[in-house]
Amino acid sequence: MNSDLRARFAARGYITSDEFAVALELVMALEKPLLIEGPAGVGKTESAKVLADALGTRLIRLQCYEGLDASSALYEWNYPKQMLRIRLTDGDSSTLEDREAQIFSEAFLLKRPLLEALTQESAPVLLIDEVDRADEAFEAFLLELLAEFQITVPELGTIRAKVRPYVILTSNRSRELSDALRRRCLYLWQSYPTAQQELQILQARLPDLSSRLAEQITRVMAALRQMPFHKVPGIAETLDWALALMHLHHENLDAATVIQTRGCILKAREDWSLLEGNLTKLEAVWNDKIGERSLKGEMDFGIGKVTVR
Amino acid sequence: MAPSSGENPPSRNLLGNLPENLLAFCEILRVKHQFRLGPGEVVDALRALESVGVDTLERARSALRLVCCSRLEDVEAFNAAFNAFFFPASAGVAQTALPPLEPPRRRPNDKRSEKGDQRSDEEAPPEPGEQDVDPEFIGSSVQHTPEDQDERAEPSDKVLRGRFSFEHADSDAPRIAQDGLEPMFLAASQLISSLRLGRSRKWRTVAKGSRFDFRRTLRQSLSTGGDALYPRWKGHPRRNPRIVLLLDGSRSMLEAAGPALQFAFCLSQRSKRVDVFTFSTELRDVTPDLRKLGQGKSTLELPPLKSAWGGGTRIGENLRIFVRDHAARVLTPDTLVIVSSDGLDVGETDVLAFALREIKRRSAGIVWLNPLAAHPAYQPTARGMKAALPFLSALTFARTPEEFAVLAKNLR
Repeated sequence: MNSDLRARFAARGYITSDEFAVALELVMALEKPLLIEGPAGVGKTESAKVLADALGTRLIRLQCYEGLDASSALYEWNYPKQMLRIRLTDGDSSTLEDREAQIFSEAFLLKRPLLEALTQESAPVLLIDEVDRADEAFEAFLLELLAEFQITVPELGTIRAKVRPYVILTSNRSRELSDALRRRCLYLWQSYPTAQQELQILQARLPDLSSRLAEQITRVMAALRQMPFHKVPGIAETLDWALALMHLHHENLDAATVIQTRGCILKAREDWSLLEGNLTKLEAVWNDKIGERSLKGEMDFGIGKVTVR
Repeated sequence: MAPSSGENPPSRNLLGNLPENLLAFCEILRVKHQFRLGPGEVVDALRALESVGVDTLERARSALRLVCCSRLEDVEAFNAAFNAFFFPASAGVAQTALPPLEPPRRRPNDKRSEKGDQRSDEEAPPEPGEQDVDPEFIGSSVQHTPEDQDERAEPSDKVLRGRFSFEHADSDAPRIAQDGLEPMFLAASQLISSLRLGRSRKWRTVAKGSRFDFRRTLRQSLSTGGDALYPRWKGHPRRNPRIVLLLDGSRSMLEAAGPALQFAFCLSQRSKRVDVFTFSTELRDVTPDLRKLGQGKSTLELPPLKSAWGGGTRIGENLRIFVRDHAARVLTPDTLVIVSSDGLDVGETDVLAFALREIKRRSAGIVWLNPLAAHPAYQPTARGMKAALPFLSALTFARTPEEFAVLAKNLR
């Protein structure tokens, strides 16, 4: 099952690490949510999309943000419909309790992503994206859902999942998540890929990219990630850059090309200045003949340790 | 899995079967590394191993890591514990075959007997160049030989020993000055009342809010026959600030640490949302001690803080320990962290930068009080300060109650 799922991921251009493959296997075996933490742009969200595609099931996504509350994530009552029912039954002789039971029934419930995921007939992939952006109070809402796969609507009672969804939570660590939430999840730290992995990703996603250019790109990206940028470029930036170079019909990297296309990889003015200041040293990286020497993880850009020997 | 491998020496940790080994391993993670593993996690770990099998080491290790770890900081500890438990190291080579941790400090005329440690009473003072310690060896991992404990050692040795030795810390109990206590209490109150961290991200029911709360309004209308007579509102409440003080009590800071400790005492008496830590070569949470002082004690004297006061300086290492052991409890997005230190760290700046990055990420901001900054020509060029600077909301100084009271104004 494991190798089969890996193959399906690879067929969709998503290269999985060994640990990620084990994580997917455990998500299915243990039916526990998977919390993926890591820097932005390393493919956390994409992994959920590809998982849904690979399993041939529905992806239900909840994008978290400041102020997200239960009514936006779990359910909401259909207020206009409730008001209308109240007006229509104004002259009824029914008691207040009966009228309340009517308007707080499932017919008046609007399902939001979390409730939607629990009421599917076949297990969907539920992506709770950037959970660190949500409030602490919202995490408490998630606890019951992630542990028992059920939610409690005060007016209706407890709704249990027909089939357990595959839940993936992602976080960029902009704030610390609670221990209670973490304990309910499997934990995976997804870091930037190695140069070799990134090369495989480029080859899988952009098969028309020349191998020399692909190798140059991965070398430069590995070197860039050692530099103190405000926003360190991720895999998404690598793919954007490679695509841009392909469209511009560049077969090799040179200083002018890097300057022209720097907007694909660096998104802050200060980062551009840092890049320009280190262009000469980067030139040595992409000018290296392929296979002549391996790319060192640490390089001297005048801002860190000199460990290249 | 690994324990059955014939190449690895058996460990005293390894017991009879897989569940017993796993229980023992989880116990180590729980007790030694403070992992929060309950019975549910142990069962999950067993189920995970059952699922992935134990024939491939890396898959088994990954499976256990996915279940047992819950944050990035756990991963390193897990890997070390896993190797130590399932692959215990052999007895190793004799220590004499290993390179020394410190460069030898040879002195002229240092004539020792064949038995070893007797130093000549007539030995000449060391030459400056020879006595210096290689900066590469200055760090938290420095270990000292028994000869460093010699009371007849040179003064420079004492300084070095004070920096690094746990035993040599000034064990005097720090005393909080009674002079100027009232103005300091006033300053603490002023800081607490003037500290504004903006509004919370949470939506709460408030009397006058910016968002109409349809749900509560409708529920309220049921009691008035469906007429929405009483609108309900939501808004963002003000953030209730919390303050964490990290006081450098090393010898180089003792003069400046007095007012800072007095201010910390006053703050802890004025608010329950204050936590105070002191550090020198070790870190200590002194909040309970400070709170006890306010309960009718005549002398404002803390218990001896041992290595957390009056010894050497290990800023980065202590902040890392603070992040590891206390941050989850005391750091929230509403926490302002005040570090009082001269920044003259002798440890690795990478460690300091890592710790401050974590503190900044988890808190509302870091204010660094450096007594040296009071000098008009001061520049933060010390290694520690250069490493710390990118993570600070403010670098300033405070010695008097008036200066402590206006700390909130330094926040960007």
